[in-house]
Amino acid sequence: MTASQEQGDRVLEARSLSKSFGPVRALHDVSLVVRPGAVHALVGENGAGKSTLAKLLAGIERPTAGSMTLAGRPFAPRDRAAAKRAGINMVPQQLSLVGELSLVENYLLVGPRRLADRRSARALLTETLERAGVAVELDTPTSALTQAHRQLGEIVVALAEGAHTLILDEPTASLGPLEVGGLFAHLRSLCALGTAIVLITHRLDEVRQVADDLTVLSHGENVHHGSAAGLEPSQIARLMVGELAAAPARADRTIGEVVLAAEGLVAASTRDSPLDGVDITVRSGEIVGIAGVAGSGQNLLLDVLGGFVQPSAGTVALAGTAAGASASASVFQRAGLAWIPEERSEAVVPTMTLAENLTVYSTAIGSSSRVGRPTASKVGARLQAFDVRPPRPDLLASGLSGGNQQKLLAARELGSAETPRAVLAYGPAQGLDLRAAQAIRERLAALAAEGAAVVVASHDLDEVLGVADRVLVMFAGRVVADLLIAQATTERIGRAMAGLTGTPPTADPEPEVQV
Amino acid sequence: MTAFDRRRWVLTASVVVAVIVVAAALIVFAGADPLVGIQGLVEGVSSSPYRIGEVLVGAVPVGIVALTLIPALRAGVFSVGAEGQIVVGAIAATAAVFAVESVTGGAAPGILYWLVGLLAGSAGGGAMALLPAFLAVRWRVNEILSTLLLNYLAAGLLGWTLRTWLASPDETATPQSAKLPEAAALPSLLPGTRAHWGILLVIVIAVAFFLWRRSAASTRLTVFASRPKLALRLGATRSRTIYSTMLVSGVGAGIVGWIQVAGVNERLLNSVTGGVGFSGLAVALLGGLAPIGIVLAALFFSALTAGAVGMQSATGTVPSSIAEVIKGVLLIGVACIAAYQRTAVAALAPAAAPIDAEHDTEPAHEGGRS
Repeated sequence: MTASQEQGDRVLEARSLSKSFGPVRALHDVSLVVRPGAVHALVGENGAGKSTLAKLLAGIERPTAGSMTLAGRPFAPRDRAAAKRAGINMVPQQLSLVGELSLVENYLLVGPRRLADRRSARALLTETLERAGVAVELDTPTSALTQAHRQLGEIVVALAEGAHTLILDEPTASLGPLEVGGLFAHLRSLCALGTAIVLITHRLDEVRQVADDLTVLSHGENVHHGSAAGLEPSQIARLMVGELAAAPARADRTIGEVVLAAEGLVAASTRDSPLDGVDITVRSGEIVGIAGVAGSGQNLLLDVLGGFVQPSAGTVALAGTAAGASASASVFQRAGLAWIPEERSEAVVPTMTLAENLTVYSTAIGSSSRVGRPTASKVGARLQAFDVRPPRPDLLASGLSGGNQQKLLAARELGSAETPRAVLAYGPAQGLDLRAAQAIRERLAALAAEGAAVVVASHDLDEVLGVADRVLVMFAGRVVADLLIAQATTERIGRAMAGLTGTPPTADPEPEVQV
Repeated sequence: MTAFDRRRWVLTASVVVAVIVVAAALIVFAGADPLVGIQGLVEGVSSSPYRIGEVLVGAVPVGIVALTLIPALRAGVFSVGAEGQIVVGAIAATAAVFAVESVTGGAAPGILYWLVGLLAGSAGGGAMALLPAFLAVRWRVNEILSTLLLNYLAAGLLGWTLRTWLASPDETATPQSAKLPEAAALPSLLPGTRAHWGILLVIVIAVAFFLWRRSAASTRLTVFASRPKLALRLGATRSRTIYSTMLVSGVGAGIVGWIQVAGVNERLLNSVTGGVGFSGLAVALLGGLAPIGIVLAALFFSALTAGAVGMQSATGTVPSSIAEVIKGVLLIGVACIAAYQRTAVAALAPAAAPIDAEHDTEPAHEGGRS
């Protein structure tokens, strides 16, 4: 049977899919058609619902409403294994290969039982490799392969399992440009054999490079579905981000002295793009937003600014610390740097009570702290001020829901009696409902008005634009745009986030901001 | 009480039941009546002042090791090197006592011997602990592995020491040092028993750690165990935490080395540790890292050993090594509880049993990236 004969009856079609997690609507009324022999790009901001849609297609989650058909017949996989049997397989972003085992051994782990001998498994994989025109070492431990080859290996294993529709979740996130080109060449040859590919990506230029079809999701809804041909990345960015919400009225703030300044930062991390010469200056009374697709170096930048990671080159200076003092996290904390990390689990201690979490700085540093130990009534008042539910000081923090842990964290970092000198916040409103998120934004603005220098990073662009006076856009470990909020059009930011910078228009180095 | 607490108590209760079942089975298997065995056990512990004294003496080293392990375990630093640290502490204390004797010509007062022995033991145990701490800080060598293996090194060092520079001048059946000078021995606390002044030291250490629980340092260690990044903001860096906590446990073990030499055996023996390094870890976990719990657990462990001897003489057929089997079962049980605590805290932490879901708008599965 040739590929073209199979193709007609292999169309995967989703109609009006919706998915809610409790009260949260992750996906609403999304339809798409995945054609055999075509690459279907799926783009959208973080939290737009891409992963949810992919999980529905791959049988990992089940839709709340809507239906799917495969080859014209109803397709409602009970679980991931059922979808696999039907030929639909998802390659996760965090690859699932066992590093100590070779590809053959990995295949033996997941493949069908009847193939439980090495020779036939190897034969099948070899055949698959030849069919796909891919060369990957089958017998070395996969941890010894390059990232690109691991990615291909994972695809080959999926194909050997009989997949005709592959869902790739950000396969290019950890690949260099050359490797991306190689991967795309292989994807095209797979398509030529009739494989359908759903490609989730953040990089919009990749859509132009490889995609035939395009679905754009925004806030769980389908805002574009159709051919990818003729769409410029900037147009896609506009579709993704939508028109900017009207910025809330901003109180006049006096921009003062430089509080936080970093120059020429170079640093590396296993979890994020390495920083490659980042400069940043934040003044008293100013809120600087940091935008960028996830993994562009924002996390590492905040780690360096917070004193958690020592840069291999460059300097960080925070007002209020002695010139010769080391730029360590504890020195910065004592100088009045508030810290809300992207992962709140890094900052909330589940085995301690709400009161202990709230007062951890004063209790763990002793009497030398800038702030005295808050009394029990003050603790209760602070919990209530930040709407932590339930506001019971003696409750263990592990007993709070995620959103309330976030509020607890905000209460500790942003709610102390003394105004912090500077604030580093990554997604300070993540997991919060609209009202609570608004309260956090107002709190940040109030702190800035009192003279704090505030940095807000987020991969939710709205969260940054809703509060910042100035927006830095990061791409691949560098600041590629520095825009005053008035200049920060969707198109400019979208282009910069996708790494499409000609000469980015930069803000006046001495900002005379009237915000 | 949270679900986590409830499950922990269920787990603890099942460990206790398992211990009783295993003990009864072993007694029956040895051909004895469990009731007679238990009676012998109770008599072995309490029938005379001497036996009560033995329970106290046995509890001292285990108690000190366990108490001084509190900071390390609270910080999640799993040091199992107490055995080796006791050995090195004991060697150092013995050598120091003999040095004082030769310098003063045997005329030194007891207090000088005790002070020098205490300091030398502390220094020896502390130095032995700094080595794995350095390895862990500098090259991230797993401290469980390094401390465990260094125990063998220490045992070898002890054997060599007892055959060479600290060997007794007399012909002896087993390698041992000469007897310590009379004045260097820890005086008896209760007449007619071997219970010595080390008991008071346990009480002092227990009270100190009881007060320490509410200190800034204690909070820092608790935070370090689960939230190292937050701990950095509190000044608890990895190196500072590992060095300080392992030093405390090493000094504690070194003091035990001195006490076993000066208070119990009156000479350095190959069997100086008697396994208290490992039992100390078990007692610390069994006592829930709380000073009072640890003191009780140490007394329980010691009573089990002393009672088993009574059981052996009462039944005639049950060997006293039953105590070691029971301790082993208990250790496995405690390890299960500890493992459960560690994993449960990690697994439950992000969103354990949300009490208020009303305003929780975070999707359960969507997570951060998509």
